[in-house]
Amino acid sequence: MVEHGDIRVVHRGGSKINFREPVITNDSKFLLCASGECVKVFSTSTEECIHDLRGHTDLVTGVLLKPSNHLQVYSCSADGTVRLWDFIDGILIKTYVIGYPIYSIYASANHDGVIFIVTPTLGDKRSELFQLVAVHLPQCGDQLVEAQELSAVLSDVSSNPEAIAFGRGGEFIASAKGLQLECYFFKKQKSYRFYLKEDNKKGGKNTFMCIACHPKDDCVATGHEDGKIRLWRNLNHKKEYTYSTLHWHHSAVSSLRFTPEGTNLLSGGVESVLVQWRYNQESQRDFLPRLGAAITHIAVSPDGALFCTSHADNKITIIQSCVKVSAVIQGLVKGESVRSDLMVDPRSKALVLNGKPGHLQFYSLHRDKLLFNLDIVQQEYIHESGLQQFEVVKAAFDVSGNWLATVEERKQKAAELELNLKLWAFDEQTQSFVLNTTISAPHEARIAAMCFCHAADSRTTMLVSTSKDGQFKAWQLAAPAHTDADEGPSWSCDFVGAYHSLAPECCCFSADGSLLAVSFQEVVTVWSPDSWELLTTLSQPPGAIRDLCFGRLSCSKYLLGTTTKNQLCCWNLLTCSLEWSTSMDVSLLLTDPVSENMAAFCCQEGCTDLFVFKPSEPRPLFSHKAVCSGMVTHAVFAPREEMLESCEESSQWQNQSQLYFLTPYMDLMTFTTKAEEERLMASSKQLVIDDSVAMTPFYLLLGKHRQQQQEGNGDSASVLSAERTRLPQGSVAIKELLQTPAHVLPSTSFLCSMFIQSLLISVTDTREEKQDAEEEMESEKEEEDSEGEMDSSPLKLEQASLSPTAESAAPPLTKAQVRELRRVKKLDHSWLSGLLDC
Amino acid sequence: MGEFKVHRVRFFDYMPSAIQAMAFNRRSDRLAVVRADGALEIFNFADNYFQEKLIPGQDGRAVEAVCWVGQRLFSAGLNGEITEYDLENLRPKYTMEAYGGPIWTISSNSQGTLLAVGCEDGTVKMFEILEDRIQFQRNLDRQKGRIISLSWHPSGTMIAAGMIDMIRIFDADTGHATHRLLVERGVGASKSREVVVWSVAFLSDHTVVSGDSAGKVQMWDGLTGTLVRTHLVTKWDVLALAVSQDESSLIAGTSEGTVIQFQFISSTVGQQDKEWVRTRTFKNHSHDVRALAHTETAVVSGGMDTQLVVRPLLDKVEKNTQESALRKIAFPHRSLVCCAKKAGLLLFQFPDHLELWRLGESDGHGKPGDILPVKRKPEKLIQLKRKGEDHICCSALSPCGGWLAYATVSSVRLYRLQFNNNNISITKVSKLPKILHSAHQLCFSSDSSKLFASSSHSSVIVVALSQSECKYLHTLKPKTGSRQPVHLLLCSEDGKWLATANTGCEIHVYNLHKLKVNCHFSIHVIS
Repeated sequence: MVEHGDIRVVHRGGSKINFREPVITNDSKFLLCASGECVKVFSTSTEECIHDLRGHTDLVTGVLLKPSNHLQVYSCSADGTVRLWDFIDGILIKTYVIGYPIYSIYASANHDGVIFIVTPTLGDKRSELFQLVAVHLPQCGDQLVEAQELSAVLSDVSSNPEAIAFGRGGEFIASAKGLQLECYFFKKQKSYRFYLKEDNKKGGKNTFMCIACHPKDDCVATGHEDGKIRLWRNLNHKKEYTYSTLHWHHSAVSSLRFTPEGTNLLSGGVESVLVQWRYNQESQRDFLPRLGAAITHIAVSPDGALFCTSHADNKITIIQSCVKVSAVIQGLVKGESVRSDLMVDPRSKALVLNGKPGHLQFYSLHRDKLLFNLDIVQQEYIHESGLQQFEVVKAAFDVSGNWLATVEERKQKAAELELNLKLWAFDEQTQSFVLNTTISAPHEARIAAMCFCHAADSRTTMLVSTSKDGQFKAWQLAAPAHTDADEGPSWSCDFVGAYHSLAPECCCFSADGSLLAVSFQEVVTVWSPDSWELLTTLSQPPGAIRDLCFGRLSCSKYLLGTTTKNQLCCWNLLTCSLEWSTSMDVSLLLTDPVSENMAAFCCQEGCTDLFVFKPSEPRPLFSHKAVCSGMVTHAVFAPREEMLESCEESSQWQNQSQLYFLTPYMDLMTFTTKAEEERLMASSKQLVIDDSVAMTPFYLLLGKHRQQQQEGNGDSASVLSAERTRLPQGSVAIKELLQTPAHVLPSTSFLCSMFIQSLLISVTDTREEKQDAEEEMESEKEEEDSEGEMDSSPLKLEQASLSPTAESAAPPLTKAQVRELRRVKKLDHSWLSGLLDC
Repeated sequence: MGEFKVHRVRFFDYMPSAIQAMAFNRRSDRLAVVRADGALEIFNFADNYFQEKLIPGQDGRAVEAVCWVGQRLFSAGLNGEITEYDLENLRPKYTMEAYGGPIWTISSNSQGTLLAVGCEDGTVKMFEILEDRIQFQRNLDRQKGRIISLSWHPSGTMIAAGMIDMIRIFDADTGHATHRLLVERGVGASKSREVVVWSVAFLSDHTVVSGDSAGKVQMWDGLTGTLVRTHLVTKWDVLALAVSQDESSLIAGTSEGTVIQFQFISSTVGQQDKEWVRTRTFKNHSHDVRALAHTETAVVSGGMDTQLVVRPLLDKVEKNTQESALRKIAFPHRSLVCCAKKAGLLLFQFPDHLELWRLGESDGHGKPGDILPVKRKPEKLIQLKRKGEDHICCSALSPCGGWLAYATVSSVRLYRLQFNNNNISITKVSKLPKILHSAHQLCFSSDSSKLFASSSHSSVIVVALSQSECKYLHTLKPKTGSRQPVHLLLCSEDGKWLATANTGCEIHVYNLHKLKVNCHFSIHVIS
């Protein structure tokens, strides 16, 4: 067995964006949210992810704008560090090492140089007790600083970040845990505690869920488990404190926020309704209903213009002034289980799995973005527990992505199972799937497996479904009956097969579509789909077949099966005999659609190991012990957009496609090599931009061009935008035309010639541009270090004098500093070149 | 313990009446409660919320408001009269016509010199409070529309009057209206309905608080006449307001049965500028809260559901003490049932009639705890309607079942009951001694030969009863010379002793053979 250190398992994509409260920046342009091990920066207007702030090595547990500098942001993580970022450029400014896992972070403008974090009580790390600690951030220039000055403020706080909040101007901090509210006044260094009874007479649970402090008044709002909101006042009195109660929510209030002016209070909970209460006029409230899923966090922009809510279905909604949903940032929807397998849509290369109830979600792994949801069930989902509703349980794509088959089922308590098989055709015009055929009750019992015929060249497409009722059925696209000619072709049953009244389990088509293998408990039957003739049976008792896969490409003569009795068998279909078998408990076997490789996840002692092998030889190409704890039941090979050129034997299997799998805790993981990670870092470096304009695709198309114009004449060789073509709008004539006020403009006839001339000039420009672009293409292949050399020619001189010094000074500098230095250099260009031109 | 037959008496159809108004006297810790039938009750809050005094109502006296002036109690009602009560003899002392149509509200200034009443015809009438009576002084500027509510400024120089759609502030000296505060109507369908300012409160910082029929509690600046804050607390009416003495807390009763507290607190710690903030909501009533009182430690509320609720403010009392418990006073404190043991008769007292019932009988001999079969069902023998306007204040049935007596504020009536087989005859004893003209309590001796009636100044009149006549025997007088009325009267089984208790916390025991005081106990409540 070969182990390789440079391939590691990473969280890739689809991580939670609703884990912690998002942060809206001061200018309301960006939204920052913790997502797995990085902080994502989204544009609030376009919903695009602009860049990731990478650096933490464990889950990011909090994001917070630095109170003294609104262009910098703190992030804290369970890895025990607090990092300070410049979020516009995505630069890590400082790392403060705390040394204890951090669960949330707070700061206030009143406490300069101090942040407040929640860590486990220092005595023992395993304990469930948390404390609020003030950290004095040392003021020194180093990048990596160890913060040693810690002082406990409150002991026994909740680890829920919603349960602690700073009061008016940071004068006090309020923390709620269980049935106790505690307010600590910093000036007096005195804390007041208020207790509630466990439940009131009507049985409402009084447990505190969340807390918010009014920005101007000494008023603390708390949300409770029974849906009540209490507004506490007179907090500096042991006895004469008072509170008023607001009640709209029917179940627990999960988040509360005051608007920055303190005029409104926002609350949200399971009802997925954002409620806006007028402060001091609580009988007046506004609702924003139908937000889709339970609200977990609410955030308000510093100017109060934008609200944003995080939802339980991994979604962030941006709301303009509590009336209009202006943007929805949707992450990968993860329920408790994935009933449909993971699939890859052959067209969009998107990961397809269960999403919202009754939907299939298409998730782009490369862009880490939800593309769209396909409504399969087409019925209104009722938000109520205990209701039996239609669920998508199976889905399959044909090889070209033209057809999608889905199975939905509903199990009423006593009544029969309701099953629907739906076939969806891809519509080129609308670029989405359109329902073609609905087959109600395709089988009498639950459908166990479903697959399309793989053959790409076959004229007719075929779908085979196996069911617990002892039959497998082949469905074929057939021309419509003569009577209604206006309808297109639809699907109908072509063949019903059975074998010794055993229940079929798995089915699989060979790569060329000439063979169909269906497993009936421990027997594998091989059929010819053309004649529906039983060709042969293979069996390797004991143990029923769990998974069945045909080999591909050069290994297409092999059929692999795994059994429940810890066997992995490989049959040669030419000889109809067992080629090899090995004893391992394979929980999941899958084939790479673009290579011969197969992956087997083996469950051993509570952990899952991965083996990648070729069916032709029983020796694994790659193995990885303990990829995660628990059993992996869902995985998929996703083809890469661009091939990797790894020549290492152990990572070659990753060149064409990437293996993604879901852990039992619904984390989407993948394998990555060191080289790939470096490439990723480099690409994120490229995205560093100088101005504060949002890095949207639109900006990449047009905005960058403007910058180039400013940099000087056409000979500038920017590092970026090799494939971008320069457009003529930037020329002086057109600028004049557009910027001069209309009443002072000369006549149109005069302008016309100017305009046409400008167009002529631009033609030569573009030619030069092309040359430049070619140069760039070449230069890009060079080493990263030569980046500095690629600057504009008027600056060559200065550059030459500067870069050697930078190079010579390089060893003591860290990479990030060098990057920073380069950025500074680039900033200077415009005015320097102007001087030189004179 | 002996063996008892337990009767289930489920035929006493007692109907308490709604609480209409209340007034709390901070100096004596007494609460005066007026019910819809005109009865007035006085509760002693210093003494465990005991109902000390009860003045029965009168037909046609619909009391709308009640007001303490020192130890004197005044009420006014829709019959257009102002009544002062004689709290020693438990009867109205005098009534005075205000000549302004029905009176909606009455309020005295804090100095106790003037009484203002708000009348249907839109006048606020001032009465001077003299030693033994009140005297009309003058009218304030007459307004169009009835005066619903009144509140004096603590200095006594200004008075706020709640009207229809507006509040007026009068200068008490000149009698001219200085401000006219227009109250906004409700929104939507209620826009066309005029808004009634049910209650106003004038605070010492010249804030006028109003509660109106559009469900608003509004804070006005009484000096400039501007609206400061509006709290929409209910969709229906805000019927009552009450302010604590230190003016840091205010309560509003709504027709939804809720009582809403507002507190005058500073919004930020350590700053002086305070504002009224809505804080707690108490829901202890099922129907309209008509009357409110704010004591030092508790919120007292009463309304249509006839309950008097004392809700302690937990920030003002010690936790887990007797004071911190919620109290609901729903049962009558006086005994309204009288039982003739030997005859198996029950007498039920209602404000306007008496009912005489015979208890059911059974012959069964069962084990303890068994339910015996009823041989004869309980039956109503007599329903006796009272004479006159005054409501019945007390009644008694002799132990033998042969005599029945009741008293109103103005008269005492005695009846002779005779049973032969199934016929009952009731005859009124026509000639009663002159001295027996009113009684606070009535009681028969155990051999039914004497009737005791407590009269003014804690005295007890003893009347001998015989077949032919009833004869005045003696008046028992306590030596202490207490002027308080007797509220408990009991004769011993052997007929030798008679015990009385009065609201002055005195118990007197008389020897009936010698007809003189045997001993007396007195409990002094330290207040």
